[in-house]
Amino acid sequence: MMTEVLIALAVIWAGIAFLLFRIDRKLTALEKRINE
Amino acid sequence: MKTIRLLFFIIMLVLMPVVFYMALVWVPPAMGLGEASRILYFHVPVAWSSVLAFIMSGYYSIRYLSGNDRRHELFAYNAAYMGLVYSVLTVITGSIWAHISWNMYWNWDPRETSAVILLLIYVAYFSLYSSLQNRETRGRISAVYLIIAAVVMPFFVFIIPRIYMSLHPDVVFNTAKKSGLELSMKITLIASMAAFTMLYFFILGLMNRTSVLKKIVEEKQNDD
Amino acid sequence: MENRIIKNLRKDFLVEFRNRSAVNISFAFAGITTLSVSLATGGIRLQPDIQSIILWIIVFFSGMSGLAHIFIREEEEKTSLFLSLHSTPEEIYISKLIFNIAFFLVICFAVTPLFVFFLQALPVHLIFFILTVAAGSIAIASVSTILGAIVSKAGNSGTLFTVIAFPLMLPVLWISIGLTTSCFDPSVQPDCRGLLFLLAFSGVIISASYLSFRFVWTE
Repeated sequence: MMTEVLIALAVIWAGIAFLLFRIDRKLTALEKRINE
Repeated sequence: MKTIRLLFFIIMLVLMPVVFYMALVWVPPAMGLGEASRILYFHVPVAWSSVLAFIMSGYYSIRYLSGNDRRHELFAYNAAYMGLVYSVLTVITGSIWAHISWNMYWNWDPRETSAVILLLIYVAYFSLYSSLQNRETRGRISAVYLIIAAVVMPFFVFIIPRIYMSLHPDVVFNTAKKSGLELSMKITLIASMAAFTMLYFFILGLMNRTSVLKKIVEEKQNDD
Repeated sequence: MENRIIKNLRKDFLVEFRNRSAVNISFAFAGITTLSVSLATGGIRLQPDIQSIILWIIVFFSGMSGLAHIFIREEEEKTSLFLSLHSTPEEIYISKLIFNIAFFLVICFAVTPLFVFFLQALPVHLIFFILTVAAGSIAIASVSTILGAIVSKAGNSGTLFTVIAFPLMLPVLWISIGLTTSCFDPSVQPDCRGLLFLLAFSGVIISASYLSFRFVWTE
């Protein structure tokens, strides 16, 4: 059972990390646009 | 993404699942508490993050007052905001742990009470901030309050639990390492604290950049 | 600098003396509460912890009715601008702080004998008791000074002062009550750590307020 829990947590974390990454990408794009 | 930030992100990305594995599988259960002791590896980093957040908010407030860079006022606000969220999480995880250990969710134990007082201090900050709506002096007055809060915080986190004997297992979370934790537990705890600290700074960075962009947009709107 | 501080102090004392409302209200509150508790308990000696709680409730609320007053009066009577012209913010802070501490100590040392007399609460460790009451008063006064300044610049709302002051006052009261309880208990040796906590707390708040008062005071 522990393996399932770990896999679930890893998947959730991957999702969160992906969202954070996306936010960062959007912010970088905006900053680049403003600095032009 | 800049290289350093990318590196930081990748380390954090990989470290957190490792921490999950270490905390939930690898580490042997503690004596007495058994499997439930694993919550330690999440409760302590979250509490530490809230202390860190309050230190950061005090730092940004001091920089704002000494430099008059308006952005630092926003950064202090963001840091305090995250501090509040993490304090709430600390109280919640703490009471879950309390229920597991002593079958009571809340005890008015000195350490628990200090955590709640810290929470209330930061809620008071937000009340102050919103009641000073849009005044010129809002940033300065709330920065002073944050500095006083940050300066007083060590009393609650470190000193009160030492004065009053507390049910809290390792009276101050710093000395948790010294009171008979095995090596594997120490490693897990340190790794977990590292992961959560990185998470804190990453999210704070994102919030700060958003605030700066928002401010630029507002200024453009005001100019039009 | 000392001259101006002393002059500000004298001005505050004179104004307070002429219009004795704050002191009167505080004493009235203290007297009424003590007498009511004494009447209600019918002369029975209460337990030490209840005695100390009642003492601190009386002291705290007697003080509160006068403390926030200090800055709010300045704002209301529009004298704050004049004060800023006359002295630097640090001097203003020190004079207000000393005034608050003095005010609070006066109330304390008038209320406490009343309390001891009417509630038959004789402190066993007398010196420790006096030190505790003094330390607690100083702590409450120092918190109130800076927070009163902040609130007066933020629009004078009474509720705001309550919300802001509550989390900082609570631990002071909590520790003071614990210390005074041990004063009434003959079996317990007085523990100085709480006293040091109160004094350190006051010291830290006073230092931080002294350094940052300028940013609150000047528009």
